[in-house]
Amino acid sequence: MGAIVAIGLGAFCVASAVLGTRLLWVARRTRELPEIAIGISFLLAGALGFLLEVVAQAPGSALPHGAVGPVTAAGKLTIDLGIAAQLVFTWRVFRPNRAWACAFAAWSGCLLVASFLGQAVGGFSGRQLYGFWFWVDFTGRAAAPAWNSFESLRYYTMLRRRVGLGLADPVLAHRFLLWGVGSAAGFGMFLTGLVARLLGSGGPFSNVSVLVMSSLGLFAAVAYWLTFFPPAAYRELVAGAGDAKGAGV
Amino acid sequence: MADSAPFEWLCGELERATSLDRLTARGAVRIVLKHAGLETWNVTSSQIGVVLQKRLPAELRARGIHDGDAHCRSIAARLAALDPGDAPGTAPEDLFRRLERR
Repeated sequence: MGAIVAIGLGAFCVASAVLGTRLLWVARRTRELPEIAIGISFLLAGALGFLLEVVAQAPGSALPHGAVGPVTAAGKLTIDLGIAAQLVFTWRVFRPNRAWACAFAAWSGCLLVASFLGQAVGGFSGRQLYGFWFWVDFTGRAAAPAWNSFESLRYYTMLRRRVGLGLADPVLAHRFLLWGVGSAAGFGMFLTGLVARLLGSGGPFSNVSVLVMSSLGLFAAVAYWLTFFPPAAYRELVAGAGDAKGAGV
Repeated sequence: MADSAPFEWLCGELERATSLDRLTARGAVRIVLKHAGLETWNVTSSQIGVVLQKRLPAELRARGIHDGDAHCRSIAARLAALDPGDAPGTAPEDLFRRLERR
């Protein structure tokens, strides 16, 4: 099982790091906020922060006892910054002119700040992590991928309608589907930790939950990669399926 | 939240060309855009052109306007002559298009 876990979580971290770097490289040219925000999000939350949290909290972690708190704090701070960037991305891409979307992103960001400060008071000890601030933190963290997924899938259904009118490219529409299910898998990774805790199976990084997380991580990594950098063969496959559907109408 | 200029333009044209009042004209356009997978805040002129051709005539017929096809053709011709042009991309898909030009 260790190999599967390593592959899943490793793929998620590596894909996040590569995607984040490539998106920031693109942002160097476009100078647009969405590319910058999602690039930062992948790098901080998906790659660096996730790795730090796994290292700090995994059962049998090799970290010396005194290092667990600081590494947990660093992981949490990094993930929270990445999550905040994802909230900005979703707001600016899907609801740029909606006051409620700006307020929702700000509210979720405030939860992240509050939970970080709350856990900092407790010194990021294990007990503190699973108390009141755990729930505040979970709400703030889970809101970002859940919202992102909802908006992407909603937009996918809209683009499917446009495809029928010749107003959208089927491959483009499919990329929103991939982005939506990838974000749903990211949400699932947060949810897995919660479920493991509620079932009392040894904390969010117990073996089973890590296995589920790694599977979701692998799935998310593939979906994200195909969203932003679909290879030519994949484009042709999706376009061909779209043409076949159109011919059948 | 402000609706896009092409949306406002189409509603105004429809109100002038038909017997529909302001609210009904805007409602008809909103419904047609929704069924086409478009949103009022960022719909573009070229998208309005397609809607005028493929969706709005049926909606007008359903509202008892029997010469809806002629009205839509006339509005589409004015739209083409006006050629307001599409604003720089602010729609979600523009992000993916930008990334493709890496």
